[in-house]
Amino acid sequence: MKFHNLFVVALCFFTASITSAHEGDCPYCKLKLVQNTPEQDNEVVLRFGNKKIEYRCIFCVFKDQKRYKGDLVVYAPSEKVGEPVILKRTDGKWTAPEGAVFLNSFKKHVDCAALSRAFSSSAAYEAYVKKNDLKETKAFTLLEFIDFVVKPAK
Amino acid sequence: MKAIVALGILGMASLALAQSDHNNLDKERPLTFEDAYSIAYRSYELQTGLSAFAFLNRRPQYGLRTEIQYGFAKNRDLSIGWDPVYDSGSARLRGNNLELSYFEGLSREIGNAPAIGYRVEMEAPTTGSARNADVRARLILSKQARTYDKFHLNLGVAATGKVAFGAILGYSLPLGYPNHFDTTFLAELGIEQSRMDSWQNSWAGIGIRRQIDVTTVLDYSLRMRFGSAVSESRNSLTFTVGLSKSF
Amino acid sequence: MIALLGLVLSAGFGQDRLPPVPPDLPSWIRAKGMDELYYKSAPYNWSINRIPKFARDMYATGVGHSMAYEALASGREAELETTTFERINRILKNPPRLPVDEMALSPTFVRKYGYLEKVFDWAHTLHFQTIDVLAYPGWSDSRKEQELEELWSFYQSEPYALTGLPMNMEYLDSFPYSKGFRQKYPKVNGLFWGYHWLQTVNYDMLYRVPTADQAAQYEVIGERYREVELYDETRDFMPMTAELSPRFAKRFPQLANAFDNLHMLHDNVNDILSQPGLTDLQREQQIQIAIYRVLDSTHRGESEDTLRPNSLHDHRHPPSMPGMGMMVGSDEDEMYMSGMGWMNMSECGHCSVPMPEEEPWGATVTADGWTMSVRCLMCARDMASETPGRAIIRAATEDPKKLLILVSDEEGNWKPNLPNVVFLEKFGEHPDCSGWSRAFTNDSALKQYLVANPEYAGMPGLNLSAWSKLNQGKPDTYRRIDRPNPYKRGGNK
Repeated sequence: MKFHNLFVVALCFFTASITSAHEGDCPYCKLKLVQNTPEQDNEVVLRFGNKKIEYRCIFCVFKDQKRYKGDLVVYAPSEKVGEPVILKRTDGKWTAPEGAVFLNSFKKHVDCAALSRAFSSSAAYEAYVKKNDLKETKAFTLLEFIDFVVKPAK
Repeated sequence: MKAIVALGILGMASLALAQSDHNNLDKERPLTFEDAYSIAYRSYELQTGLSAFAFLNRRPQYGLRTEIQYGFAKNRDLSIGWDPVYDSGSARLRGNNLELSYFEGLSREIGNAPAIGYRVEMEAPTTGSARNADVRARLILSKQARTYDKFHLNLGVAATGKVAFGAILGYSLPLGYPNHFDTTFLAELGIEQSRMDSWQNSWAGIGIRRQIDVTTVLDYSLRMRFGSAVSESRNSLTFTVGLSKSF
Repeated sequence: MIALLGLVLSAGFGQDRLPPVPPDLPSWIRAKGMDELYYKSAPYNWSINRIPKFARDMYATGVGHSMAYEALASGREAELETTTFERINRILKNPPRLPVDEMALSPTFVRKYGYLEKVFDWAHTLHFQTIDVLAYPGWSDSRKEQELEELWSFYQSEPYALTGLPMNMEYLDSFPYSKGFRQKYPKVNGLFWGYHWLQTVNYDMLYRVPTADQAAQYEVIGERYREVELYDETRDFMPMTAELSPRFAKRFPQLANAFDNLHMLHDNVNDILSQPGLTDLQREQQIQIAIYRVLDSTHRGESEDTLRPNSLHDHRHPPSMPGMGMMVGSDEDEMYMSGMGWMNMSECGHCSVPMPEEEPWGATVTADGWTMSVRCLMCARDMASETPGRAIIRAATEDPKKLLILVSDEEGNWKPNLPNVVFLEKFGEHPDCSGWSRAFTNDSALKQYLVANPEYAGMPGLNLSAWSKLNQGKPDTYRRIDRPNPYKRGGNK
């Protein structure tokens, strides 16, 4: 991602963070949650029983999933406003809608909300990569994404 | 006699397994020595103990000592005690005297100086069979030995017409530290002048104080008297079990 | 003479001057007696044992304090984060069943700083007796409140009593030696702040809570204490009573302030004992000065109106919270709270609408190591459901004598103390939420409320199961205070 593009995305999130209403910190990375904007959803919501917990990005959700003993539903913001990609963990097994792909290319965690995302299709993924001029990215399947995220740090 | 020794050994065996500590050491609970600290200001403490005295050449005696203490001021307490003795040989109960006692803690341990306290006791006869009335005073020094264990030197003087001196070296060691905190092992070596001016009375003892709830301590001890001005008391054993309750 | 010598030595310490010994240092500090005090004789004593796990954890805090102080006083600070930490941790994981004589565990410390132990011991007695009163099943809430006032007078009758006035925490943590211990010994400092978390979070667990409903809360609090709080090295500042037991601190500000002042004294002492380059005399003097700063006698005749900002006699407090002194970066009711960020103590932690002045007082939520005041049951539930882990809600009902206690599991399934509890929730404007989101002890109480409040006529009562599944999302009134962490380098002070 070129610096100015990243800057624009980051500025958009920052602006959102001080104008939006209810905003806490991510339970995993402790950074501020990034709120939805009219152009793009950013709020990652994890449902666990009656709990409805917000995360900063899907990377954080998968990093933190071990703390929950039971079935989970994750509403991962997609390229379409109001239409999240719904991920489920049932009996420990994760599933995603057919065709969903995932991006995870941030170098610094502060960029995670922009660069760790779900897409309903490869085409939507390609469009996002192109729009934000992202280089050296890879479209992960859900299992590849999980494998990538939970692998031990080198 | 055998039964008492067996009971004492049993007590010691459970000590070895016992865990931690109760730290405030009072006279006769269960050994003769005490530490240089008073009971807490505003507290009352009821102490009672049953002793069995076993002799080589005569039938045993049994004592029931009861004492109540009151911390009437900071570092000071008053107490009143009574220890009647039952002689199974003569089947007679000896009332003994009432003890009135004043204790004052002069200093806690500061730097390398020991804690210092003193006690003054007076006895008042209760029955015709009571001992002669005494006035006794005791200077007490307590000093940390290594980490948690302490030495306690009790230097006493008694006046009953004649003046007699005595000394007890006491030792206390919390058991089980740093994992457990409710048991203290005690030991003492004592010597005192008899009324005949010779240093004939000498004894050694070991004991345990064990906290059984927040305000109650169970104690037990075994004491052996080596020398005594009274010949039949020589080589006698005393087994004591007692209870202290503060309120 | 000693004071003069102190001044001379102070001037030689590093580049910063150490605080000088005050001329009016109380004479009892130099007294030689042990001065052991008995607690107030009362039927409630040791009621803490009615919650055995809590009692044992509390007893272990005494062991933890003593072992760390003994290591510091006997020159073993090099092993504080290793051997001593492990030894303490072993006790914390296997806590004693009976209270422990702290002086017996730290003989070297007591030989050097016996006067300090008197202050600690007396304040710890107050901690325990306050708990005992609140955990005692034999008295009504009003009798307990009366007793706490009497207990406070009893505590103040001794010269070792700490002040119940709020103190400026930024000032008390601003000396040349300040903050050293937490930086140099983060693991053991984490333990200390963990103990102080437990010693402050428990009061709202007990205050006005029926004694039968106290132990269930400790399942959540104890787990949090043992698994997280003891080992948290990221906390910015020591836990404050008003932060963790806001309801208790508001009702008994003198107690809350005394506990905070005690905990700050612990921090000062830790900093002084671990400060390299101090002579024994300097250490002793600085500890005496630290005691002097927070003694009741030092502030006698002063009040919360004594305003000398950021000084020893700064007794300001947030307007809505008399039980807390001013903190780093505090501004009126706004304070920075570890784990929650900036908060306004006069507002609902969930919807930012001011807390009600009248009954019902609202609710508190304890989750993830914090406790927040909220206006209504809906705010409480939604705030808890946004937070991972188990949670506790304590909420007002229509009966001021009956508090609703809800304890949740990890999935947000609630267990109530009132078997017939019924809820009203007719989602509307947040500023009115304490009217349309309420709990009732039973169905007939709800019906009476609906009759008295026709605007809610026809609303069905919700049982716990139906109510638990609701979630009204983000309140449109919520206002985040977007300021940097004042404890971080570069943060605003």
